[in-house]
Amino acid sequence: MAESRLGHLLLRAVGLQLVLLGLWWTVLYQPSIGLLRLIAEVPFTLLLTNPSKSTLEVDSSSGDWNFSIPVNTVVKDSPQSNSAVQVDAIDFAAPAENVAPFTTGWFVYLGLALSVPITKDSTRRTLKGLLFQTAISALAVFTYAEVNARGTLAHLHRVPDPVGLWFLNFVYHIDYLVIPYASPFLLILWTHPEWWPKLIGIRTPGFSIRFSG
Amino acid sequence: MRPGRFVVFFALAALLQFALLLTPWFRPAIDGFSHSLVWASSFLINALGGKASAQGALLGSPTNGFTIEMRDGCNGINVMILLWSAVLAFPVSRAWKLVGILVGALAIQGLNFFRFISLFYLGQYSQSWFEFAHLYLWETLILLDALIVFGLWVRRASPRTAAYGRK
Repeated sequence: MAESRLGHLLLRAVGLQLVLLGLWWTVLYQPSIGLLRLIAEVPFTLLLTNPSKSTLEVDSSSGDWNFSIPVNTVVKDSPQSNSAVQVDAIDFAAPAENVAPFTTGWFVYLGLALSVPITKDSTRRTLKGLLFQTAISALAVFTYAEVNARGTLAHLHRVPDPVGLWFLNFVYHIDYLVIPYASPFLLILWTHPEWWPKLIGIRTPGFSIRFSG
Repeated sequence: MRPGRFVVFFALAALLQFALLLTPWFRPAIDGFSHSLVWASSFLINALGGKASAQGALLGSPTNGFTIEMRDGCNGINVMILLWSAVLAFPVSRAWKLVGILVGALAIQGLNFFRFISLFYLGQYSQSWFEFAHLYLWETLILLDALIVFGLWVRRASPRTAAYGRK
């Protein structure tokens, strides 16, 4: 009985993922990247100040995201120069498809939230979860830009610090290959505690679930 | 066990495993694992009448030259680490955790194997749908697989959990 409920949940979840991700890919891809651009403005404005130019701009013709990340540092061992080099900001461009993974969280989360019966209360919690997912996506884009800029900066040194490079690689891996995909699953288990009894069974001695929405 | 403690242990276990994964010492093992998956995919495709050739992390079609590469993120290790972290954080006996780790790895890699072969064929049909399935749909389905495996493992672990709690 309990495992058939898990089966129903799984079927609904898979079906909704197919529908919502398909809808995103075919229709909502560009609008969601536009929305991401808007929300990403918040951390870039609050956390970075680049007096010379905007920290994030989108090229209207190519769709590329142009970042200008202030670093304000001096590279004393640049291979291109015998003297110290002042670096104010790192500029780089990323094609839109590179930031697209940060938009899928909304659709994956929504698919998971709609897999359980919809009530007024669950709708409220779904909206709350979407807000959290939005914040996660915005911060993930910000981290993506920072890590890329710091990685470029590290390679301006004659001998890049291996521990620093490992750390940047670690943060990049979590931010780009884990967070966009795993965050909706972690969020749903927090905002929708009704997932838990369906997932792990009603009675599990020694493990009481007390998450609240 | 309180959920807060589970979440903290889960996060710590995941961060530690990702940190180890990205150290240079693990690189040869990860590359070797990816290469063996590609080789096994090629073997299975050829055994079932298809045509594929493996070279390192590359799986190619001799018919039309289409090639896919198994990179980090494509070999299922990220999802395995997340599942293992949940298993390690859950309060059961060490033996049952070991069962969860082994069965979880098999479940994730089994589906990932199917994913890789399906992408090999899908990529020859449509580049756009290959991108969609590769980067988004299969990632989500494999995470769902991990969630379900964890759920089933906990359900079967519950009597052992009780015994463990009494110790």
